Amino acid sequence: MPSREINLSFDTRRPNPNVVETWKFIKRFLPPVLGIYALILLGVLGYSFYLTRTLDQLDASLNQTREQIKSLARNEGMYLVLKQKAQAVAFIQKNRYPFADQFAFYKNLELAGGILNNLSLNGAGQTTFTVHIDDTPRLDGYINVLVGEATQKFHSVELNSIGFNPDGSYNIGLNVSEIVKKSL
Amino acid sequence: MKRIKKFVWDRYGFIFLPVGSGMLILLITLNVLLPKVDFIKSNQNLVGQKKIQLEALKKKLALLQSVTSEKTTQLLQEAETALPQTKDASSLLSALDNLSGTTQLVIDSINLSPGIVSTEAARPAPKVATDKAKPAVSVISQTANTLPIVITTHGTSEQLRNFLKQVQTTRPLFDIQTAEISFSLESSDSLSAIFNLNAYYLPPIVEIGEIDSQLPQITDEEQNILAALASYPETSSLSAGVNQNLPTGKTNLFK
Repeated sequence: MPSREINLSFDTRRPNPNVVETWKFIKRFLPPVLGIYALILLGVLGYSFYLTRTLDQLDASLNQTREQIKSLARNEGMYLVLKQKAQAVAFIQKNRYPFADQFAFYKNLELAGGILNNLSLNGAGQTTFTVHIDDTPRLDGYINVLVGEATQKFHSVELNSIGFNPDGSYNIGLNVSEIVKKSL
Repeated sequence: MKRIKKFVWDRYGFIFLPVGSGMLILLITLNVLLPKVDFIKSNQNLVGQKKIQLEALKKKLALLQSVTSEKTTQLLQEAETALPQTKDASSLLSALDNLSGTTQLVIDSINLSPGIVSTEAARPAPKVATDKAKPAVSVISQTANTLPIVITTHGTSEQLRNFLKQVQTTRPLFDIQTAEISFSLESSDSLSAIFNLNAYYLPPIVEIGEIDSQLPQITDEEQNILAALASYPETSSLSAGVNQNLPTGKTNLFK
């Protein structure tokens, strides 16, 4: 039997055409891909470095401002006391009942012919008073004036008592609930 | 050996290079890029928050630096005379006495029960609160404490009207709760009246909240009210006046 010859040497001269194509592809696209990745990496690293620096600067500024505020604790106390007073004064002033105006109103009603005997005012707008009125026509006039104000000024006007005196005069007691307009 | 390497590279290099590059990219991505992206994500908002915080603190600082201005000090003094820190019975009595003097309405009696007069103002001075302290807004109490006073008076309608007007526009602040007015049978202009008044006092705050907490703003309405207080006459000047007029005795013991 004739002997056969085998060739064990590597054939490096003629690479596979597919491999050549793949190499071409890699050489064409791998460098840009790596370049873009490197750019992204540098961008991220740069931005994180910027953030770190910004945070450090902000922290330093915050601490400095805090120290300055801390050194002004007395001023802060003064300001808060002023605010506290302002709130309390505003609350008091808002809930005030204009006693002087109301007294003037009931006193002026005397012009309608009734003389005040007593008058009781409270801050909730409840007023009780008794009036001496000389005769019936004046009683009518007085009541008319009072009721004439009712729609604007009063929630209700109630007759508490009525007394007829021997001389023809009346003592009437009225209970008035006012629409309170708190003064400022 | 060199030929083998060249052979392997030529035959399989097209696999090693992209795979190696990919693995390197993966390694860098996992160990460097992703942690940095996480860092950016979490700190980007933090920067914004810190900027806002810094701006707020700077505003607070500017406000606090302006507190020592003459205007603020004056407002504080006026507010203090309107709403004292303590139950100062003597200044209240002096205020009522002065009101009686200016309106000519005669005060027959004053019933004042101050109760415990141990001063609530005698607390420690305002201190900077710890981190766990309340925010500045919550340390402020809105309403003042009341001190009821009952006075009986007599006079004329005009005097009473003046009294009613002035008692509500004076420093210290008074508020009328009820007014019982009886007119004389002999003269319609002469009257007697019993008033239930409230005087006020407001112990000062003792803590000022966190450094980072925002200061509650004094509103325009409150500013107007504080400004209006300035126009109110101060009627409790007796204590100051008395102190000025009190005999001081010998000032130099060796003469």
